[in-house]
Amino acid sequence: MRRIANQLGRRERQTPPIRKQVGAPSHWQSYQLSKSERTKRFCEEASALGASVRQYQTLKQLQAGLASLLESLQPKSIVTWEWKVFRSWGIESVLTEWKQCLVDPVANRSEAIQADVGITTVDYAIADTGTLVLCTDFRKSRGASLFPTHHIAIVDADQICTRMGEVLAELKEMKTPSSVHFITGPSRSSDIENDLSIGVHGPAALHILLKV
Amino acid sequence: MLMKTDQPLRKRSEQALQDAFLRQAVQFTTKRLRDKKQESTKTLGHWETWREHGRQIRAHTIQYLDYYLEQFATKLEQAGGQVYFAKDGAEAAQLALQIAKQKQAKLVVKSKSMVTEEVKINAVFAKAGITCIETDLGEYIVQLAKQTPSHIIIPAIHQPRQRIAQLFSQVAGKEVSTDTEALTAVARQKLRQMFAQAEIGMTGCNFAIAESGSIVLFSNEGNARMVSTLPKTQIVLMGMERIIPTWADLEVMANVLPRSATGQKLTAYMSVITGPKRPKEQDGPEELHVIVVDNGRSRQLGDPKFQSILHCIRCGACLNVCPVYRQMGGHAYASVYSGPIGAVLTPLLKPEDEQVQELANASSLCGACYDACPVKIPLHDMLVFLRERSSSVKKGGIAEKIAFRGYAAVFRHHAIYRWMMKIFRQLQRWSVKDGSRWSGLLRRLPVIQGWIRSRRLPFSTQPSFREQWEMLKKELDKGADPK
Repeated sequence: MRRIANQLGRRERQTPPIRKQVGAPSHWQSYQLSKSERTKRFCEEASALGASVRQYQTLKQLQAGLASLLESLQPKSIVTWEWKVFRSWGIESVLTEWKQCLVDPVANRSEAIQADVGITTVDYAIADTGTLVLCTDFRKSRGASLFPTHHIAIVDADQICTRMGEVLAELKEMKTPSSVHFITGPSRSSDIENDLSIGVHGPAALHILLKV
Repeated sequence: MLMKTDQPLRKRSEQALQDAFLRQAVQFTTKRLRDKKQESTKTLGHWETWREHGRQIRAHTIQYLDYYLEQFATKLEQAGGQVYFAKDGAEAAQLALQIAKQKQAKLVVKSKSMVTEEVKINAVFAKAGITCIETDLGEYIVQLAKQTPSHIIIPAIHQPRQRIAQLFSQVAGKEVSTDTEALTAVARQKLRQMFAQAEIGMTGCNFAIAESGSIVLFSNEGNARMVSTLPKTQIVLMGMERIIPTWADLEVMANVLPRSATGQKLTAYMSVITGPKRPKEQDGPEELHVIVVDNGRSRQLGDPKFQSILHCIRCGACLNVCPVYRQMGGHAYASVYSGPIGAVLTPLLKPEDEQVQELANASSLCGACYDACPVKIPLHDMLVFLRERSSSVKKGGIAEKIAFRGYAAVFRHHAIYRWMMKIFRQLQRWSVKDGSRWSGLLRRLPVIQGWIRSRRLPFSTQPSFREQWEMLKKELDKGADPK
């Protein structure tokens, strides 16, 4: 470090001066959408990238929506976050119906990485880019949003922020999680002759169930 | 096509220009990326403001790199990670190898990282009997074909799908169609086994956040997430300049990097990793080792001409606009970094390697790279400085000296210049046929034959502008006479 300091023309390490502006340009920092605009924008952006967004007015409708989505996907194996995470969503009864398909990601890793469906909630969403933000903790695995062919994410419209900076500011305030994943649409690649292909390593389909 | 890296740049570029598929593919891809970038920056608006912000963040960080690196290392250790500093590529590879040996690793899965290419990790590990598998689809193709990446963002730009299908058929042990979907499915299935089996996952690092000791990875396929989720040990190789000070600064980088690289608003995945998995967490690496690589970078610090090369965020936008890259593709550079950034960075990282110094000549000095750069690195100025540097070391031949003396003499004196122009116009009558083709005799002349082979020279006007002006002036003077 001292060598670096010397090369930069300083004797010792020096605390940098405080910058006049940190982060995004001021016009961007003042960019703010109303709740309905945020919801609209989020849905548009996410759909444009190939996510399917379904909107529900009530919890009951959302639960029914999840049930019918699972019914149509007919998964053989499902990985989820710990059920406690879903408590406020009341979807335990739906999950119970699929109990025989649930795979424990720790005890049965080799099956979990081949799972058909993963079900998670989110910590935040970003309207500007149609992005979901998922923080890892002991109840919320990294794999549930990554391994399966279909990722089902349950989102509350209140979780949608206008831009990424708001989420980053909140993340900075809390004890930083071991990993935070910003997910925008399904997995994609254009590596073969510039031809878009979906689902290379991550999920090939992203289903967003949004309670408005 | 296999590029012979020991040949001089001139030979390599000639070879690349013969490859019709390569040229067509490179031009198609770079145009696509360029157009997408333009569209996405236009939609965002205030692009120049974003660039200036990007530049300021990078300039500030590099100016206080010692402080931020130390803050980063301290915070990362607090989060349970281990930090190493490697002064050169060999040391970085050895550090990684020691960790791998300690874990008795046989298989390493990697996500795309230029710095691991730079320190030649795969070769070092192979020698020790450890297999490294590239998991980015493009890099995987390139690895199966035993080649090196030809574009920083789209590595397999030069591979036609028929060839990819051949390679994948060998891997799958059955015939695979040339369909994109079928090819992708083979890679997904095959690599999934590797992710699960590998003892070590190795990633690069797009940005490292100093204030929390976090590693930020951008990816579209999700392989970087796989690599940082499944293996028990994660090794991160990062260039020492990859730091940004705060989380807030990440918002600027997240807005400019994907747009400049692929024209996306944001890549499908952006992961911020802070230390290994925590107690009771269900997945993630148990150990996180971060190797900070110098390898010639710190030498640029304090050098007013070249320090800002460390501002680079490796988006590849300069490749897509470069008239030289667009003609010959990445392999002709015979270097890990191609395009304008490669033409500057490679000679700077390896000043002792005389052969790579000529890369600075692979440019037309048009400055399109500067305009494309999201953090405003004056690459075109650096190219001139580098040429100056190598010409001050290497003296040209006698012929070159005489030529430039003559050039200076002609251009210094108005009369000689006019007289020479007259002679050259006469000479052109017999040296250029059909208005633009060079006569056979001239094409066989040494020295200039390389220059004129692919260039055309239209006839100069007869009589010349000056001569016409003389005549016109007489007429005008007459006309001005009141009759």
